[in-house]
Amino acid sequence: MTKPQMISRDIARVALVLAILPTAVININYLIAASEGYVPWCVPYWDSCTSISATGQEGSAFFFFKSTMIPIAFIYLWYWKLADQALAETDHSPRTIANIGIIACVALICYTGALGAVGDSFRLVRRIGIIVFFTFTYLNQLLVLYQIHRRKLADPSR
Amino acid sequence: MQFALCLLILAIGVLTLSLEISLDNYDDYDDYEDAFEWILALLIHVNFLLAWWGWRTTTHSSASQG
Repeated sequence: MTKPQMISRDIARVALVLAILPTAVININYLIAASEGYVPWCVPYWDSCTSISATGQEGSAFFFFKSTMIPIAFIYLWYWKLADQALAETDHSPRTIANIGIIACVALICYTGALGAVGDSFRLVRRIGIIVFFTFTYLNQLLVLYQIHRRKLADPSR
Repeated sequence: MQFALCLLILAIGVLTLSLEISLDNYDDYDDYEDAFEWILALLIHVNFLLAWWGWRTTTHSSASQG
């Protein structure tokens, strides 16, 4: 197996982990917070009864969220680094995807670190952190998709 | 498929912004904000699932090409 094939194989595995793990953590965290009475029982996807942040601010969910999301932030970083390597042969600006990934990862760590802390400045850190994380993660997903599309256009046999 | 999902995420993002701007009472928007957050988080991770499928297909096709 060639090096690009190995990177693609690794990146596929990491992408699967990132599809399952954070979604599971967020939902399990909600179940913990609701079972301890910190947030109401509902379907947050359409009842809009609680935010993701609110589920990780008190009780066991506070520790669960922090101890899982910070390692997951590094898995995101690993994914963007692999994506950057896999797409290195196309002529995108070197390390753009990895650098955007670093910003998203730092934002997620800041958000997770400020979770549960009292005060307006921590609230601001949480707000900026989650917006930057979502925006830059989405931006990187678009960028990867664009680079793959370009590569296919350049070499239709791929 | 992944491109369609990216467009959907963008549309939801634009919808949240336009709701925030257009609703006179901020509390009205506040009623929906949390649900948008949950849905966007879910969709971004569904995008990783589609990426897994895409990378997997790339590996298999390049391996079969030799």
